[in-house]
Amino acid sequence: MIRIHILNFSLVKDALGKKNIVITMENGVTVVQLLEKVRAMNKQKLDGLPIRVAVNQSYVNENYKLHNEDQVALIPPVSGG
Amino acid sequence: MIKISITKEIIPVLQSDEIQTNNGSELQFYGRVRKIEKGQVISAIDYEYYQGMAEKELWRLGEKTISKFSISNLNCVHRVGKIPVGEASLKIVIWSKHRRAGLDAMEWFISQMKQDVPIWKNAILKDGSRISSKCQC
Repeated sequence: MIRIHILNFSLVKDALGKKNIVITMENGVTVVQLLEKVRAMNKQKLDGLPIRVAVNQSYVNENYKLHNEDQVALIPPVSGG
Repeated sequence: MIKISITKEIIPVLQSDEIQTNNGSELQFYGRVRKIEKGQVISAIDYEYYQGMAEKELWRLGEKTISKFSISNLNCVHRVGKIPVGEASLKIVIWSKHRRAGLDAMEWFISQMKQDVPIWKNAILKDGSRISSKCQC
């Protein structure tokens, strides 16, 4: 099992009601599997919301395999400027 | 040369930062907080950001912009936290020998920033309630 530190921002944070979450998942879990688990926490608000994922401050694709103690940011559409 | 920063302080406007005698074009762009957001009157925007990654992404974009266009320097300051209507949230300065490269670089840098840099707007209405941004805008 691995432990993953999740940082939620903007609409994801609003939907989950928390800035930080720590979850435990199976070894070899991918980003897409993590996103399925997170979306299930609030289907009403998270279904259909585009979410990009950054691991340790770099964007990764959905097939990226997570490692123990990774810091994973859930990034909904950005709106700087 | 690239300079990137994220600040919680007021961004000073209408000052030329440096003397660039090799460059004939200096473009200064300011993004300011509008009074109307999504059809509603607001008092401020509270900018949320991912500390560390936002700076990293801005720097990466700065490097890509300098390699893609014939520009000499790019400076970018993005303000975060609560910014009242009318104040600047973003300042970008680009120097180049000629204006065309600078104008193209400015447009490209801003467009990319609005796709990749983890910064989010939360509009604050007059009554204090908040609206999170739901789109790239």
